[in-house]
Amino acid sequence: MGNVMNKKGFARIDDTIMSFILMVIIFVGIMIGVILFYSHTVDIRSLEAEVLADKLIKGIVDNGKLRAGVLDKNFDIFESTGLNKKVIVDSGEYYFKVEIFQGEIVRKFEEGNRDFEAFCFLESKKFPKCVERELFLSSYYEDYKIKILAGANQLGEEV
Amino acid sequence: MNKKGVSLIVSVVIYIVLFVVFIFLLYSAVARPGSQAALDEQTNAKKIALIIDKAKPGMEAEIDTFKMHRLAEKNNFNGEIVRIDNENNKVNVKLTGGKGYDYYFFVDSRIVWNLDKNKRLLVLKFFEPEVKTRGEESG
Repeated sequence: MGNVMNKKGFARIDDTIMSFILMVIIFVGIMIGVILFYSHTVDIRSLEAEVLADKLIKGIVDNGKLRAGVLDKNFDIFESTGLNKKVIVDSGEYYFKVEIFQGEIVRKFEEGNRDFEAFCFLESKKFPKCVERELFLSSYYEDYKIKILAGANQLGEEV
Repeated sequence: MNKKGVSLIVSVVIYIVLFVVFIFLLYSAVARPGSQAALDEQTNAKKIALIIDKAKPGMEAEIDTFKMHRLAEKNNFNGEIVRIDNENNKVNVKLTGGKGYDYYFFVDSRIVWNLDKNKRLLVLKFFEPEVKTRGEESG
């Protein structure tokens, strides 16, 4: 590689260009190797889905009873759960669905990326990780069944 | 000089310059992913985001940053290793040069944080979002 000198003491520019091309090929090869070897993603999506489901339960259940006002039309689930609406709705990385049944469905909250419902329990690295919870609230006056589906798909940047 | 060639000295200079540029680019491209710092940035950013997600207003958390500080020192990085952006719900961990690693938390708490370099602790205090006032974060 490099400067093949001709008999008159000159070097061909083609050789320098070839050396440059060779360097680029070596560079790309080493980079691919390093990225394949060192790229790791710490996956906390399942944990995030668990935390999200816990937050939802705490937001709608109080001392084993349905929190006051949950069945009202103007009940703000984000305020009650402490979740950030901007991150949950706009990022497209989260999803939750809360259904409250009293025999039939009486209230439903659904926010975030609704595609998750279809992809939730499919096996793929790209699909979201989800958790399902089912609660039964029973008292002298009322019985409620609550179904919660929470999903997260924030993987972050790959290193 | 003939038509197909350049003088030997010009060719050698071009070759050496290209080679130095090549080595520099290769080093700068490989150094970051090849170091432990990139993985540690990611792990710690996600860990802190998860702690924030799990916490309730009124709680206080102390996170040991000894390993992060040691790694930052090893990488000759003297800047702030952890930043929490309440406005954008973002945690940034930076243990070496570059932009660090960003991860988003999904709760609406207001977090007052303090990175104690002497004790090597990150102290997080969680408050209700409605008492939000700007400029209270410290670090």
